Amino acid sequence: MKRIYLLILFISHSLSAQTTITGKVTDTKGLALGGVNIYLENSYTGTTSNADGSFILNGLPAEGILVFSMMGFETFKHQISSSSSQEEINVQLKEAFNKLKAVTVSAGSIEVSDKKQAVVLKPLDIVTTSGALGDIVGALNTLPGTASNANDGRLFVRGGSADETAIFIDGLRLGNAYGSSLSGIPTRGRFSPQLFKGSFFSTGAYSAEYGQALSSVLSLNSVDFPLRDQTDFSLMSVGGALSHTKVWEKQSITANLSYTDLQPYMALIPQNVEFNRAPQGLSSEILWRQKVSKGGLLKAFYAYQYSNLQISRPEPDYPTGRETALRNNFHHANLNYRQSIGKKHLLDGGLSFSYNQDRINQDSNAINTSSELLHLKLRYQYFAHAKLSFKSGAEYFTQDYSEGFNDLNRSQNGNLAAAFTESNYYFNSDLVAKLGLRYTHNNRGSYLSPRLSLAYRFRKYSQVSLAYGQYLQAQDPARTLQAGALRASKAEHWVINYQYSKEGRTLRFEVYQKSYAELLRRNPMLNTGGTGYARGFDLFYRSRSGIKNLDYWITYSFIDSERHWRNFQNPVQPSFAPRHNASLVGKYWVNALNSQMGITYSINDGFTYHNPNLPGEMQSKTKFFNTLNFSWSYLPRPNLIFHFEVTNVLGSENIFGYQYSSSPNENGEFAELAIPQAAPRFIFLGIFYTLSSDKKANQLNNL
Amino acid sequence: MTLLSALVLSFGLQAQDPSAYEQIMKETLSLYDSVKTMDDYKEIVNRFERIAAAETDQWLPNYYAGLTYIYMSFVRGLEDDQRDDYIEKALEAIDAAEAIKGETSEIVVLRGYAYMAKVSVSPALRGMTLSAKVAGYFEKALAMDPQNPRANLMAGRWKYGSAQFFGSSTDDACALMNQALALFEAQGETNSIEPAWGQNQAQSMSQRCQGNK
Repeated sequence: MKRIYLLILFISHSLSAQTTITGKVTDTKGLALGGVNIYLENSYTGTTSNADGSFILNGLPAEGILVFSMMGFETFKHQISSSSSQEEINVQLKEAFNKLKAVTVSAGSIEVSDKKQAVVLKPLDIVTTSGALGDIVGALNTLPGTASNANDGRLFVRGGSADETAIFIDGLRLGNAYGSSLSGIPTRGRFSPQLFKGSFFSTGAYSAEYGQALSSVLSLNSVDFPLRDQTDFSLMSVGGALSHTKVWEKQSITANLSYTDLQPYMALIPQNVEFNRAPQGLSSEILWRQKVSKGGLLKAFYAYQYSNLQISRPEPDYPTGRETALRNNFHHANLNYRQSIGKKHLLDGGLSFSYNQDRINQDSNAINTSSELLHLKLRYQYFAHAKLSFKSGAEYFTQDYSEGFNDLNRSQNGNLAAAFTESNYYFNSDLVAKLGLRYTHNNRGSYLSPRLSLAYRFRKYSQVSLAYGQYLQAQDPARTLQAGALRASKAEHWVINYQYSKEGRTLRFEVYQKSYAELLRRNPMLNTGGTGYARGFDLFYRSRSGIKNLDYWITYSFIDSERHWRNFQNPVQPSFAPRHNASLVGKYWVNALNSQMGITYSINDGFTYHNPNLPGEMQSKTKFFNTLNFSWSYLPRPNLIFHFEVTNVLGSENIFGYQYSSSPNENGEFAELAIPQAAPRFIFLGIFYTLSSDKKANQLNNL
Repeated sequence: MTLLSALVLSFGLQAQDPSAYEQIMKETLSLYDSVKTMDDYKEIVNRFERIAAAETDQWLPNYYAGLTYIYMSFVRGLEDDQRDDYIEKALEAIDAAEAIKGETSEIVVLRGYAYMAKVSVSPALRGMTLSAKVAGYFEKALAMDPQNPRANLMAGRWKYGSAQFFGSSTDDACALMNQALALFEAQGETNSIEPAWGQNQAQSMSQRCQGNK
C-alpha cells in the first residue's frame, strides 16, 4: 500500500511538469475521424482517437512534436506549446493523394490490367472470351468502339481501316502485326497473350507518346520477369506447342515453339473454301530478361514465324476456281531497356525491327512482297511529385517496302522522326489534366499535334472525361509505290466519356467525333486530297456481382462514317464500318464441374459493298451479320486444362460482301459472287499441361 | 491497479531503452488475446506503428503492424476496396521490416499471407493471376527455413484450399500442417517477442485433416 502511495506521489509530481492535450480530429469536411494514431514523436506515448474523433493524451513534455497519422490521410504534425499544462486542439486531416485511387482519363481508353477493381477488362478476359480462341484482337473485338469484321480478323476502330491501328510491344512498334493471309480467310494477332501482362487499348484521342496511327493504339506490355521454372505442353486439334522457362537470380529465358497444321482438321470438317494446302504454321519465340544493377531491366525478344496455305476458289472472272498460294516469313526483334534513377526518374527505350516476306503464286504469276520496319525510341519520365509528372521522348521510324511481280520490281521507303512531351497534373484525387504535344517530321513536312485530356470524378463512383487530339500517319509505302513523297494523313478526335463503376459493375457511355483530312486518293493520280469523318457513340455494361460466378458484358457501338478516298468519286460508307454493332459476352464458372462455360454473341447490321449493276457507289449492304460462339474449359487439376470451343454454333450463313466480274456479260450485267465465311464454323479442342514446382501454375494464358 | 501500471509504463519507459522496447512489445502483443472488434485491431496497429516510428532499427514493430493489417483485411463487413487498402498498408509495413532485417523466412511468409489476403478479396478475378505468386512466396519461405512452423502452416493452408477447390487429395497439404503443428509443439510456449503466431490455426487445420480421413 505504501508503495502505491509513493507511486501516486511520483506520478503527480511528474504530471505537474507535463502537458495534457485534448481535442478532436476531423476530415476537411468536418466529419469525425476515429482510429487516428496520435503520438509524441520518438516515444511510445500515444493514443487512438475515439469514434467521435475526440482524444485525450496525458503526460506530454513541455516541448515536442505531436503526430496525427491515419491511413488514407496526410500525416499532421503539431508543435506542443509549453505555455500551459492544458491544451486543446482541433485537427483537420487532409485526405492523402493516392495515384492508384485517383481518377484516370477513361475517354477513348481501355486499360487491360489487374491494378484496379474498376478496369473494363482484365488480362485473363483475353483468354477466357469465347470466340477469341486465344487471340488478343479477338477479345478486343467484343469491346466498345470496335466493329467486328469476322472474315478479316484485324481490329477496326470507329470507322478506321485496320492499318489505322498501331500495335506496340513495350512501347515499340510491331510491323505486320497480323499473320499474312489471303482475302476472306481471317487472320490473327501474331503473338500469344501469355507473353503479355497487361495492355492498353485506345479507341481514340490517345497520348502524345503515340503517333503513326490515325484511329487507335494497342500497347502491349510484355511480362517483366517470370516467377519460376516452368514447362508447358499443349496438344490441340490443330497442332501442338511446347514452352520452357528457366529462371536464374538475375536472368531468365523463355523459349516457345508451336506448330499448327489444319490439314487433319479440315479433312474432317467441311470448309466453304477449298484448300489445296490447309493453313500450316511454325512459330518460335525466345525471350531473355536480365536484371541490371539497381532498378535496371533489359528485355530482349526475338520471334520467327513461317506459314503457308493454298486455296482454290471461284471468282466471277474465274468461275471454275482460281488457285492462290501464300508463303509467309516473319521476323521480329525487340530490345528494350528500362532504368530507374532514384525514385523520380525513369529512362527507357529500345529498338524494334520487323521483317515480313509474302510470296504469292496466283495463276502463273509470282508476286513477292517484303517490308521492313525499324523503330527506335527513347523515353524519359520525371515524377516531380505525387501529383505532377512529365514524359518526353524522341523516336525514329524507317520503313521499306518492295514488291516484285514476276521479274518486275519496285520499292518505296519512308522515314519519319518525332518528339513528344506530355505533362500530367492531378489537381486533387478527383481532377486530372494531361497536356501533350507531338512534333513529327518527314520528307514532306513538319507537323505539330496537340493532345489534351481531362477527367473529373464526382459522387465517388461516377466520372466524366474529355479528350482531344490531332493525329497523323505517313502514307503506307505499300500503297504509294512510285508515287513520290506524299504528305501524311491527318485525323482530329474528340471524345467525351461518362463512366460509373461500383463493386463489380461498370457502365460506360462515350460519344466521339473524328474527322479525317489528307487521306490518300487516286483520281487518277495518287494524291492526298481525301477527306472523311466518323461519329457516334458506344455503350458498355459489365457486371460480375449480380449472380454468383457469372460475369458478363454487353456492348453496343453506333458508327456513322463516310470517306471520300481511294478510288471513290463520292463520300461513301466504308465496307468495314457497319452502323450498328453489338456483342454479348458471358462467362459462368460451374463449381461442380470445375469448368468455365462461355458464350459470345456478336451482331451487326451488315457490310456495305459496291454493286456495279446499280447506280451510285457503295450503295448496297449485306444482310445482318451474327455469330454465337461457345466455349468450355475444364480444369480437373489446377495444372491441366481441357478447352473446347465452337464458333458460329447456330451456323449463320454470313455474307461479307460480293465480288463482281471485271466486265459486263452480254446482258450488260456484272456477274456476282458472294463472299462467305471461310468455314461455317470452327471447332477447337486442346489439352494444356503445365509442369512446375508450383503445381497450381497453369496455361490459362495460352487458351 | 492496471491503470496505474499503464501510467507508470508510459511515463517511465523511454524509447531506445532495450528493456523498455521488449516491455512495450510484450505488452502490445498481449493485446492480441483480447481482440474483438476492428477498433481493437486499430489500437494494436497504432501501437506497433508508434513503436516502429520510435525504434527505426527494429524490424518487429513493422512486422507486427503488417500482420495486424492482414488480420484487419479479414474482418467481416468490409468493402473490397477497404480490404485492399489494409493489404496495401500491410505490404508497406512488410517492406519496411524487410528494409531493416533483410529478406528472411518470416518476412517472406508474411508477404505470402498478404497476397493470399489479396486473392481472397476476389478469388475469381485474382486467383488465376496471383495464386502463383502466393505459392511462390510460401515455397521460398520454406526453402529458406524448413523448420519455420509458419512457413509450413501457410504453405499447407494454401495447398489445402486449392486441393479442396479442385477436389483433389489434401494429403500434401495436411502433411505440411502436421509438420507445422509438430514444430510449434516442439518449440513450446515462448515468452519472446519473435514471431510465434499460428499454433491455434495449425491445431484446428490439423484436426480438420484428421476429420477428413
